[in-house]
Amino acid sequence: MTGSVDEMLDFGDKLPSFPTAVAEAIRMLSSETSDTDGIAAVLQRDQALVAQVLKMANSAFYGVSRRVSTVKQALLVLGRNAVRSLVVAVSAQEFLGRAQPGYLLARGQLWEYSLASGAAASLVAQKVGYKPADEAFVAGLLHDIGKVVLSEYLAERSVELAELVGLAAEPVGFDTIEQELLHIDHAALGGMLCDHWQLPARLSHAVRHHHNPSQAGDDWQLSAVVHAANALTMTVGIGLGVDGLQYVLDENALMRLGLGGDDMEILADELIDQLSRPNPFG
Amino acid sequence: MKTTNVGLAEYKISSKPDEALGILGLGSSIGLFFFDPRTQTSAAAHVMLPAGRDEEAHPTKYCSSVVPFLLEQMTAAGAQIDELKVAVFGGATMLSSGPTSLLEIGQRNTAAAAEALTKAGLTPVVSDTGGSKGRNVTLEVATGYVTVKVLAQPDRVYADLTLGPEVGR
Repeated sequence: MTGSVDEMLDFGDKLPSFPTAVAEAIRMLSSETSDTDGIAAVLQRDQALVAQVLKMANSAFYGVSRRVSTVKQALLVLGRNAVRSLVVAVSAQEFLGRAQPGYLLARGQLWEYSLASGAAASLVAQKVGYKPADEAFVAGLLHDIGKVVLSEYLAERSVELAELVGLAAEPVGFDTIEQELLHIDHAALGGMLCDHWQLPARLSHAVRHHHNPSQAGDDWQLSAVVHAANALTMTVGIGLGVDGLQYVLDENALMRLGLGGDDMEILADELIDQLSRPNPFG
Repeated sequence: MKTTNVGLAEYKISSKPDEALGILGLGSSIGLFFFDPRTQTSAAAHVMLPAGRDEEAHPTKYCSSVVPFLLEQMTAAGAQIDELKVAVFGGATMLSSGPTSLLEIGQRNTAAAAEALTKAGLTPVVSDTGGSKGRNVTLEVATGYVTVKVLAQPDRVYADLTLGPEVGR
């Protein structure tokens, strides 16, 4: 790997893909010409997927009070975009559930962290009045998806990584270290992956800017919600890898959301209660 | 040796010599460890916040309420609290983009834990707090040895709390 452009292309070739049935469902959910019955029929071919999607849609984490019991009902009540995001979120467990050696995360740790971040994003969204809260849940759940691609590259550079993490006189954000080593960070790569999976542009944008929402332009709110959620999850101590809490808090973005230090502590308190409940997704 | 892990806002007490008490994933929260060398009884609490809304119902969640509660539980378990050794870990924090941080739960937790211990007449023999890394901490019930693991860093072992803090193997 040499220049940053080459590396971007290289990473682009390595983006993980979903199984054919999931990819087809996502394609249909994105197409304006496909009808609800057709989409439902395609989804129902994968009963395990449907069960997981409904479980997530009905969970307290997701933040929608109305229960949905069939795919068709989910499409009508939640809408196509929400169902598409749920399909992606559920399917992403395949990748998020794996060990991420570059981040020194054992199997299951990134998934646990991602679910907690989704729950946190949902709480933040409710607190600041961001709608829809379920979009925040999915953005929170997927925000670190770029790590599943960067992990193996970081693992190859673990010696340099340890030096950069340990020796900096002034601690810098771990995303800056990723850029120094690999010319891209997990947030940017996560945004690419969301585009690759044809997720709504707002979701990709939020994933891309979850460490610097103040630089997200006009459409900054969702990335700020995810940023706050990310800070809460790290504070609570879920899924801390080699990067730990080594990220710069974007204070301006939190203030723009109307969140003060007291609000963050109350949100952390609520998040702890929510995480103490049995995890519906194992 | 069997390690019993203490969940978010929970605590454990043990006097089983073949057991260790562990707290995995201390971010900004505090790992509070008590060790009575005479009865070899240990307590570990995973304390989340400086203070808050549930202090009575959930005393181990907050620095402001955990200390008296844990002392009671230690006494009930047969420990002699007049010779108690105390160690405090955690309180990590994110990097700040400005001169003061909006999110100071780590620093506030560390200060609140110190204040609560002082109020109870206790002085920690080990205090390993701050920074921006997660900590995994384990205490061996038989010896009072505490090991702090930070990813990609060498383990820090605090020898027998009866002898005071001593870094290194």
